[in-house]
Amino acid sequence: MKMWYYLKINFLGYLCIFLLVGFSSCRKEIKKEMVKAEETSRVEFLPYFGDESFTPNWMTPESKEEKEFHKIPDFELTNQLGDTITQKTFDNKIYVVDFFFTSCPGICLKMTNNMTKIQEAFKDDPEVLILSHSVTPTIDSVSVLKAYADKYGVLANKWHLVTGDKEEIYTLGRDHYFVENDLGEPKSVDDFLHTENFLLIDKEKHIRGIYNGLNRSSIAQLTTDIKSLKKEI
Amino acid sequence: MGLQQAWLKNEKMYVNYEAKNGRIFGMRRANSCYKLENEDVVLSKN
Repeated sequence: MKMWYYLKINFLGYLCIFLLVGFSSCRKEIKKEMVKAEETSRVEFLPYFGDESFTPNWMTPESKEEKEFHKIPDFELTNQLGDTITQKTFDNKIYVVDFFFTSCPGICLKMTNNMTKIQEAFKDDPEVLILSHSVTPTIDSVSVLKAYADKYGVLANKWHLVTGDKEEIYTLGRDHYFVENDLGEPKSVDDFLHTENFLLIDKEKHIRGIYNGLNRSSIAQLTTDIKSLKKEI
Repeated sequence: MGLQQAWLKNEKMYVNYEAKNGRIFGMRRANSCYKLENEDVVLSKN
């Protein structure tokens, strides 16, 4: 009887060790899979986006088609330091764009926190910049933007919070970055339907990705896509 | 797989993305943040 008891205890002990080892190796596999999923863009070249429908266009960089495709036009805005920011600032840079306002009572804070993750990931990489446009430029003066930048740890050489002519910002947002989801409602310059989308812009000023600025996996994908874009050109 | 699209009753496209190689490219319609009218936040629609 005693021998059976000891055998039973030993068996249960080995079973526990076996299950523990098996479980921990499974967890490692799952973790590896998760990391793998975020390590690649899964395509040779990221697609191009050229209108508000955001239908992916698959083309090769440097092709004739790519050269004639929709590009972000030049602009002149002012950042949190009072410096003039134009397309020249983004020459030979990959940049991430969003639209926000400092008095936003809700999701802007989460968007800003997620943008901070992009800033952190590329803080030592001069090829990558961030451009956040205020959609309330009359309220968001340079000093207001500076206070916001200081509060959220915005690095001046990496992340430009910009204000400027309202019509210019709204035209950029609606007609060039296509960030506004108007859902069929006609809009004037006084209206803006603010959304959480982040856009990825390549060195040739083409839109190469649209991401949900509130979604953690979307932000991880954006980080991966920036790295892919860096290898592309 | 392929292009996934959806429209609202007003014929405005609501979803438009392509599923390729296990991921999505394009627009999954974002939720709107706050509607602004003349830089004022509109919390509810009249």
